[in-house]
Amino acid sequence: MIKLEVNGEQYEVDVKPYWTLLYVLREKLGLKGTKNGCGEGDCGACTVIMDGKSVHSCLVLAVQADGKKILTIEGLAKEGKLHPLQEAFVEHGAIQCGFCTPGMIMAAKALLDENPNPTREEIREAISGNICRCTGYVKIIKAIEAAAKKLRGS
Amino acid sequence: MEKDSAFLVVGKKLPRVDAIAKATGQAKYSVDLELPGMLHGKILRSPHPHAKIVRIDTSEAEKLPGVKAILTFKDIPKVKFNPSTRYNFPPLPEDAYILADKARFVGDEIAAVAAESEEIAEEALSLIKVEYEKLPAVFDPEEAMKPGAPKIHDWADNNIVARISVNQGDVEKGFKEADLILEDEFKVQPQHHCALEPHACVAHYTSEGLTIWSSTQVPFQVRNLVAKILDLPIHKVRVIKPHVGGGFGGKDEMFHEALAALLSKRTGRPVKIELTRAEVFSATRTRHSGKERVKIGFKKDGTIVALHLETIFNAGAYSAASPRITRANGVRALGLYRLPNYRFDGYCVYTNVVPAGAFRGYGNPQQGFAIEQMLDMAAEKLGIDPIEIRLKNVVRVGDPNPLTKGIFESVGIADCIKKGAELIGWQRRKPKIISNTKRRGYGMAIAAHWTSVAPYAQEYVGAVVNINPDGTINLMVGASDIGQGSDTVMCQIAAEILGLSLSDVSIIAADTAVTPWDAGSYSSKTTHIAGNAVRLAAIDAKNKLLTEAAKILKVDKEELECKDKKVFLKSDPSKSVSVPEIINWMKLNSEEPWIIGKGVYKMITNCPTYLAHFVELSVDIQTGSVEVLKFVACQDVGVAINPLQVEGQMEGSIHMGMGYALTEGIIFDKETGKVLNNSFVDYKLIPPKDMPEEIITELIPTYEPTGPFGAKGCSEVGMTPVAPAIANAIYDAIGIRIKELPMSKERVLTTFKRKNLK
Repeated sequence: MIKLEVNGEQYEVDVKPYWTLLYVLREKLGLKGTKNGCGEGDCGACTVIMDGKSVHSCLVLAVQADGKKILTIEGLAKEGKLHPLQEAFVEHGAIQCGFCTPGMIMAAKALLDENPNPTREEIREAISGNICRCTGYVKIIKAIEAAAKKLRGS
Repeated sequence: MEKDSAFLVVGKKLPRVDAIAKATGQAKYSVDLELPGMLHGKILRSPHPHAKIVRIDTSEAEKLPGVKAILTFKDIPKVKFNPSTRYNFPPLPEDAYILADKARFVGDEIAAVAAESEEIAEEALSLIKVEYEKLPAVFDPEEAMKPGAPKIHDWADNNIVARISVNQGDVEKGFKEADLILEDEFKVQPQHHCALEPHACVAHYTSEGLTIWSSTQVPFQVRNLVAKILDLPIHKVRVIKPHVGGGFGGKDEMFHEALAALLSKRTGRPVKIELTRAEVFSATRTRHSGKERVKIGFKKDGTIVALHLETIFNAGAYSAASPRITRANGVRALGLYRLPNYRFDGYCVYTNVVPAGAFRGYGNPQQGFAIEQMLDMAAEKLGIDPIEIRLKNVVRVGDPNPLTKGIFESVGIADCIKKGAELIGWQRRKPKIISNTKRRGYGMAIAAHWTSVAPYAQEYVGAVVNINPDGTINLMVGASDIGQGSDTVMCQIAAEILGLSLSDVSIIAADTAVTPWDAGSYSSKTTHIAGNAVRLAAIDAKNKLLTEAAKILKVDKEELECKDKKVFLKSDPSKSVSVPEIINWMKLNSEEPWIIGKGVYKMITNCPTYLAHFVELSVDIQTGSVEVLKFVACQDVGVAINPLQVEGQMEGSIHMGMGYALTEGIIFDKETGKVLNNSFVDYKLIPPKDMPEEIITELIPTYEPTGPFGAKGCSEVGMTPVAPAIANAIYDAIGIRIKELPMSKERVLTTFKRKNLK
């Protein structure tokens, strides 16, 4: 049995020792917004924020998440209002197939929480663990820059 | 159709209609679906490249608690099919069963299990005992064509799946007239799609019918094939395409839908099959690898007088779409250059590796890598600028269209080249020496891509527009949005015609029980063909709306226009009637108290999209490392319905093309043909930090009279010029011609060293 907080809600989950956090989120808590693109920690589609740091949830064992605070894509919009990163991804055309989007937005959120004014190089570095096959990253980087600017202004 | 610049919705950089659902995690993909009682299907794959299956013993696996069904070759319908079948041109060999009768590559599908969980299904696979009799295998298409090579399919002599020829004029006569003849050979590697969502489907077989949810580009094709294999009438098979996490051609066929359906039929429960990333890499499809031999003849002034292209493609273990892609490879140049004398001889050949299939470009990047370098080689020999030799030879408006026997009506390639040259600074190129070890180079290349497979294949699409009592509309269209954004484009077109905003339109797309036919999302056809069907459906709905409004307002229909859910007099917009008022009036006064617009569009012509790429890069002569510094892409898509999405396609294509050029490639084991790099760690995509600092995408507007609002295709062409433009720039930087992909550091360095030793 592990206890964890996900998007502000408390959960107790009976887990097997080899289950991953990704498996618990998707299969036990029904939070399908976090995606499984490879299950090997290589693509970043499963990125969530654990205690303030972005992690590949397919590489985190469920037992390692015991007592942790998890933020997933479902917890980002508040009362129907999109987070500035979500708004920027929508407006700048940073979304195509959308399969990388939840993980990409969470990786960007972890970056901006720590570094509100990142350089383009720092953005590229922060999303280097997240594969996008559709966009060439061009509009994703623009969206993150725009969201950072908006977040700094507010 | 009239030209109209005063569009309300079309031509605007509008966010996608599904963007918020995708940004919030609400959008559901096939991998996200769960049904009550759902079982998980897993596939046992061959460890041998070529082997007879002597015996399969499933008894131990059957005893495992939680295992609900096991299928092997003896349990499946003996129906041979080709998973790429959608029309009859060119004919595709039917060489596959849903489980293999013999193993033809490492990864071939031998048996399948449905169980209560993925873990149980995987354990069951390990308990199935298969006795194989190994057969000699062959992995290289030229080896496979030699007498005495292992025979992979009984029907195919010398393992040749298809030999395709295309002829225009007389090449031999053309070469006699040439002042310069160049001949060369280029090698291209297998590339993998790497769509982020793995192939996945859920099938539920009940007494009411079979429903399949699938991550596919071709739901209607899947429906037809599943109905054929399971011997069901078409109305009992419903294929629904949820959100798709990328396709790029990799989901342009039926994959595991029939197998999941059969497992569901056996168990009476829904069954999901979701591939692992390693399975996607090693057992779905790749881009065709092979050789491109080019002989090309020029006049002194750079005019092409003859071109002979010979292609040998590695089809892999099954035909799939190989004959079609080989043929496509052979007609690419005809859409781009004036070729009085042209000949194509193409072969696709069975080998014991994972089958090749559709992939963005569909035979285009392979020939582009070859021909676009030959153009530069000729330009140098003739003392002509690479830009000038292309401007001299590209097709122009009014030229005969060799595919349709009509003419080209919209050709923006010359303007793409000129604008690209200006944006890269072609006339004021910076000095070659960047540092002790780094050399700067500039290169360019161009491409064209036919919009759809018309006129060879029957390309048609239907759409339906329902006007609701509040004036909003529901649009139903068969087109498959696989991430490229067709749902948004369809909604924009319907909204524009009916004078609505995008938020007034809801779309149901790609559900075979509900939406009219669409052959699928491939060949850059969706905006043009499905867009035209939507346009016609919206015009039909509008005509009906105006007809009723004319009765109410007691004027001629021609005097009316509609906008913002109102119909008004063009000459006096204050005289109007709202759509809710019209619908209410119809309930009392009309035989049909609702408005349903219908549209069917059959492609009658073909209109290529055009693209010019320019790169500035640096090559490190000590390491062979290539760094792309600046990239310029200028494309003619006719009128862009959504320029934001077109830019997105252009940028994504540059990334994918840079991978093809520099880092990507499936590596086959020399002994077994097994895919060695079956993960994102070992298969090298271009990371964000290696994308050029500056990427400029520019749309060169033309107007295609047959397109919806003047639009043509867009996305297939995007990566074709990347590799040759980079190859030409490497030559400009350090004077070496690289004729094999990928142009990895090692290859650049060894080629450079070899040249300097001479």
